[in-house]
Amino acid sequence: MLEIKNVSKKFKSFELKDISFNLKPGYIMGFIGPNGSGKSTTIKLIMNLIKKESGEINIFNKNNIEFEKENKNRIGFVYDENYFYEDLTLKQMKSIIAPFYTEWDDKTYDKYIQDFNLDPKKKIKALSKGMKMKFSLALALSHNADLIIMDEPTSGLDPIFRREILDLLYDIIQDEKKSVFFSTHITTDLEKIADYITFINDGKIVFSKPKDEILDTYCMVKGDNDLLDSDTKKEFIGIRQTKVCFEGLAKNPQRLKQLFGNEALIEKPTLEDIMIYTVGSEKND
Amino acid sequence: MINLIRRDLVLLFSSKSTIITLLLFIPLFSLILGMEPGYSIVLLSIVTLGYMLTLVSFNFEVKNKPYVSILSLPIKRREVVISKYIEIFINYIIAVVFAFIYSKILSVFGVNITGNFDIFTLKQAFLILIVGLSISLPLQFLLPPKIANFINTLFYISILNYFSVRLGDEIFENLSGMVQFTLSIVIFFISMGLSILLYKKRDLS
Repeated sequence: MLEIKNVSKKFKSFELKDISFNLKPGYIMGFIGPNGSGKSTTIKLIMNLIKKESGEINIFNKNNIEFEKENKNRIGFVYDENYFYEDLTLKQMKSIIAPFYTEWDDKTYDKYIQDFNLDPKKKIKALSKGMKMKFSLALALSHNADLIIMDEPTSGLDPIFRREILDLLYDIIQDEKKSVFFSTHITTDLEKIADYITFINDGKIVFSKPKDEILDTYCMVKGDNDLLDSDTKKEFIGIRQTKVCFEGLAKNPQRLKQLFGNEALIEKPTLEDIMIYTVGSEKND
Repeated sequence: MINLIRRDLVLLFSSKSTIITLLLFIPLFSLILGMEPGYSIVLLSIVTLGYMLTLVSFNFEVKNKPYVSILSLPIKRREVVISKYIEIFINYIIAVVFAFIYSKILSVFGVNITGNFDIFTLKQAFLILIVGLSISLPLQFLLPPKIANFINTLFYISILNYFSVRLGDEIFENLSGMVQFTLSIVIFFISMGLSILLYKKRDLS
């Protein structure tokens, strides 16, 4: 469905280094990483808005540049910002966008506009951020797209609408031919719906794996500081210590259970734990 | 490509300020320059209108980078460029028709604009428009919209107006009609090729 192979891109102050991952049909992939880690750059490369220096991007098994038009006809996109003509009404903007898609469906679009309580006569500049995002979603979901690409669609939205978006995405992938690629730094959203997680930090892919496998691979360990010495510290990806106790992220929960026995509390981490401790450890390196 | 041309028309008619400018610039030109002998308001109006109609959509790109959305649609950058160059011909025809109808309406109210709708004026307007936009469009496809718009406004005020107003009947006088036409078309295609190259290589983020 979406295959990124050894893609690199250099800017003056940032570099995307040899990134690779693969999204299969019927799945939701969460693309996580801190601000400035390369999430939006990767999405812009996929959409051919910026030019890669090396590597290959295939969408629906076809090169993203050679088959750009054909591929984009099957992609629904939602960006983190409002990239619309602000002085137009929703109706006018839709009249610009709809004719480009061969499978545009006015009935679906009207349904979303109604469900999202959007007024087609309203100017885009008069909409709130949440309303603009709803409009963006309505456009992305009205042409029977097989791949939905979303760049931070839930940032700045209230929890109720965030939940609505997640439910919508979940409905979309019930059709096993469709996939969603979803970048965010709100990792709790992904814990609810993502099948795969790709983690990018400082322009490099840290991992790209099934969510359950990731949550089984890592563990959070909590205990007294007495448990830590130079040898046990090596087991951790990152540790946060107070005067009496510590909390740290580690790999291989079985080994840590053997090491600490009942003296430490070993729990499943959240994606946020994994992101924070990994980013912290890479900064220290 | 038709969809892109339609987009520009939607943008054009969505903006009240653009419509007001379209309605007022011919009387304004007549008021400022109409009294002076040797000026052709007809020529200047056609060139101005054709130039404005072709570049107006770029004004809408200054805010919010809507080209990001447009280029995420099923479209190739080459098509975006070619459609803009095709629009020059469409806009030239619109400009001629608009200026003609407008001058007739004004004459009903006793305002006569200087210059004639003869073949010579229409040909001069066509050549100035083709060459002028062949210089302006590569800048639009190379530079951020704000900078390109600024340079092209200066270009219009200083160069295009000068040729339209002062030298409309002299600019190509040493060349035969066929050579003038061929030269303009060669410049047009070189400019289009250059714009495609520049736009294809540009990072749009």
